[in-house]
Amino acid sequence: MSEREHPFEILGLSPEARDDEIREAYLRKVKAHPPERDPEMFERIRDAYEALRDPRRRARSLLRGADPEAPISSLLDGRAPERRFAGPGPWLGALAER
Amino acid sequence: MEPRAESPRGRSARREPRDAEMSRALARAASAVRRLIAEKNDKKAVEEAKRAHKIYATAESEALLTEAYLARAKGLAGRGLVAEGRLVLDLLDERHPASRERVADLRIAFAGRAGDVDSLLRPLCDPDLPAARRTAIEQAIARQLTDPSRIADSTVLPAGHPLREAARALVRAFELATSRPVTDDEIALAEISRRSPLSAWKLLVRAIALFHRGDDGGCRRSLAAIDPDAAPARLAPILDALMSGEGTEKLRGAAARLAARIRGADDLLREPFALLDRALSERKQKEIFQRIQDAVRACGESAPALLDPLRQRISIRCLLLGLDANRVASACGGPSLKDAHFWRLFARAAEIKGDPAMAAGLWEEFRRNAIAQGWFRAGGIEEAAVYLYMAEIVRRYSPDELPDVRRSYEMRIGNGFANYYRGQPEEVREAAPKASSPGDRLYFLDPDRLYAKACAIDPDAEDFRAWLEWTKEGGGDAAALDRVAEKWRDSAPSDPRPILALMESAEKRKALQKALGHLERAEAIDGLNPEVRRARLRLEIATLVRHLQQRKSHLADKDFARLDALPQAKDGDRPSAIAAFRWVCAKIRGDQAGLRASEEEIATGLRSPAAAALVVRAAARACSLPAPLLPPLPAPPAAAGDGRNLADLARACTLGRDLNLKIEIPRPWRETLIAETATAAGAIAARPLRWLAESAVDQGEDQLAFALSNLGLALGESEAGWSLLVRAQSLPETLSERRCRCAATAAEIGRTQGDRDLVEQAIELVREEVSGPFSIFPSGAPLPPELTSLTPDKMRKTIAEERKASAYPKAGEGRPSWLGEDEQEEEPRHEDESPFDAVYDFLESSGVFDEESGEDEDDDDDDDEFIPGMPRGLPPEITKAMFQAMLRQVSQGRIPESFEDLVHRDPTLRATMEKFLAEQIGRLKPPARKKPPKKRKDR
Repeated sequence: MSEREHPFEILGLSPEARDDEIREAYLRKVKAHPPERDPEMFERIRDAYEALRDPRRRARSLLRGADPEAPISSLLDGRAPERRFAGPGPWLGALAER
Repeated sequence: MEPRAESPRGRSARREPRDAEMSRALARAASAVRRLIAEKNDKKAVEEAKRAHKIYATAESEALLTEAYLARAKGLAGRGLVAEGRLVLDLLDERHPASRERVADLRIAFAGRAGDVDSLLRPLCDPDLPAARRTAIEQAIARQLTDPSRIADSTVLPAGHPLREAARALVRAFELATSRPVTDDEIALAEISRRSPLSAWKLLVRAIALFHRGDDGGCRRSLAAIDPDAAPARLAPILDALMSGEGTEKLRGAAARLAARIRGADDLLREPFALLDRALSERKQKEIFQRIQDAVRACGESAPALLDPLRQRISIRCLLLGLDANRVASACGGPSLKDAHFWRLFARAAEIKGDPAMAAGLWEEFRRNAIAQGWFRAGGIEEAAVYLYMAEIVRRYSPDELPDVRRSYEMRIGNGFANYYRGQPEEVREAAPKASSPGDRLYFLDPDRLYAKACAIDPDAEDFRAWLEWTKEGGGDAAALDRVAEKWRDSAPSDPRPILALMESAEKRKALQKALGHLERAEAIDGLNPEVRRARLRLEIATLVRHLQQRKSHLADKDFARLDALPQAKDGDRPSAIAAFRWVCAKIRGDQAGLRASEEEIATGLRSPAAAALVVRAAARACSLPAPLLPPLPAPPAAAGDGRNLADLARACTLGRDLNLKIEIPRPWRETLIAETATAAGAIAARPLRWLAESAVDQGEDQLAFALSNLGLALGESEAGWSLLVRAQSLPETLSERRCRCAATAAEIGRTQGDRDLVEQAIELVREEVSGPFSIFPSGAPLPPELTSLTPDKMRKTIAEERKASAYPKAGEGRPSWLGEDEQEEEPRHEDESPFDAVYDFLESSGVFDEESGEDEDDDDDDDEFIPGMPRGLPPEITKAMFQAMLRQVSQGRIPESFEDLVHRDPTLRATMEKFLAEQIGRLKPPARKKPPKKRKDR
């Protein structure tokens, strides 16, 4: 895991994540990136989990996890895209166009 | 003659050959028409078919014409000319009623494609509608229907018609699933069977509901079950892109708008955020403020939840650029939220700006806010980690600097960051700093208090060790060190390490009995611990040395007996060192046989007369044997091409390090040893070479140390760390930058190797160089990044450069021009044997300076502190002269390591002592002499 890869970001967690949330996120990510299909990502996920399950290492990651010089655009990185309700109209419009 | 009338047989006989010919011609025409249809040249196909039908006018030709017309109609519809295609069908219907069945099927398809749902549905009202026709209509509905409300609202079907009822239910379920979370019951759609033309829509509704639930697997399963030819299947790629997050950028038109509506803001924010980033990187103030406003506005419209993080990030980025905070807040439409996220960013920014004091204060703000926001609980391990982190930051200042740092912080920050909390939401204001005493308020600038808090929460051995190191670094007295070690011991009663720390503290102040008491406690916990075993040997040797210093040989005999019983005393060359002490004891007693036995044992053990002599001298000096009683220094050896002399000396130094004996590198040997380094590559193992090099540094033999560092660097990467430290220590002080670079590289290597001692020494040297008179860095600043963030390439470059630069710098090299000519190079710290030393040692050994002590008493340790090597009972004028000398040395940036070092460095003190000694010698009463008998005069 490189210096710039923060465990919270790899697992898609906020700094306030609790132990159970960390574990759930780890299992979810491992399921999405199993070792036989994506060994590199699996290793990063596992390292991130190891860093966060230990309270001392987690605190360390918490303290160093903020980069004040990061681009503003990075606020959009790693965000799970929303799934807003659009109503029936846009769906039907897309269907009619196709 | 009139033509005879043909018989019927004759006429048919003549028609048969003509029919066959026509059939063949029609077949050829049909083939040509079908070929044209296949080539999609349906217009020509119709013309050919018309011509054929005009010629032949048979049922076959009519069928061919119908086929051509149908192809034409399909062709027109395929090119989007559905209305034109329908006209062709109407014409066909009218002129060739026989084709009505075939036309009807195509009409269904056309109706669906044209969205003419009513035309499609109308035949369904006919109860006699053939099954095939019904199936074709239902298939058309399934494939072409893009809006189920067309069926639900169609008046062609009567109210209550099953298809219409199903469509109504479908419309309701579709609206719900696309507008809010739904339960399975709400979208059950029992009215729609698997065979219904609306079944694909039922699956689509379910897929959309699962998508919004986040059940991507379920969504994908529902999509996979949709008939690929059905209309709803066309939305599958869009849903897939929305789930995977990939490919949405390729969507166009209504699909892209749908994706944007569903995904929300991110796509809409990328451009304003990117423009702001560019403005910040280009540092164009006017544009920065404009882009801030744009980004904040876009964020407020599209993603209000991102507004707080955005403002926080903007305020800190602008702070780093030095922009006016009020203007920034105004451009952001208000101040940023001062929660834990903000303080964390702010603290990291202070670290980047190289302001550790400010960073510590900001981490304190973060700590309180993080607890208030529930990031971690008060008293938890995370809070301990914050305290430790703050301690590491504040330790970037030296202990001497901290009082000034606190004063400066108080002046700068005053009442803390209370102003930042004005106008903030209540839950944030609750975490604002409360009034407290100045001492408490600035606790975060006191590593001692930070470590105490951290260790109280999380008594981790490494944290206690760091606390102890800080206490030592801060010049903490023995009591302070012991307090830390005792806290550690109390929190970890089964850990021998704090007891060993207490033991070392007692040992340092020569309280050997106390040290032995601690050792026994450590042995009771873990007698096999290597550190404990080493400590036992060390303390036994220290006790032996003390008894020999006190000339209590009978007590020394008991010490020897205990050492003989100690298994670790038999390891390696240790028996030779113990034999050296036996030599000292024999010398004190005047036991010639004992002397010879010891000499033989040492010579046998070390197999080198030179090494043996040096070990004996070291033992004798440790026991304060006067110089005249020391064995003579071996003569300078001839240079050995195989590095033998270096190897012997290294072996002696290794033994000395092991048993805390200072092995003297004879000054007359210097040139020989330096010359020998040129051919001694590989002659000495890494460890002994290191101890030899460090001894050379300790004794001020800079050129020899430098030469030995060449050997170390030649041994490879694994020995580069200590070699570079020795290199740094041995270079002239005027080459500050080179010393810094070597030390910084050594520290980095030490970190990777886990060599704590190496790291500490190297960083200490870097700090001294950075703040020293020849430093190229501004004074008082924290260690610059080029010394703390070394890349592997930079380290390799330094190693390569030092390997190449194997010659000791010439005199005056790197000397700055501002250094006057009258500055003298200080003499190497070397224990010369001067008449002064001999007199002094003699007086000391004769007890002039000692207090009285009983013969059989094992002197109890005293816990008084003193400078290492300082004799006890010095007269006041000497003590005063000594302190004045210390002040002079310290003001010149030098801190003598021992009393002897101080005397050697300070000529004034030396002169004072010589004068004092001369007076003392003058006061010594000569021994009473018997008067010689008077000579009788011969009479």
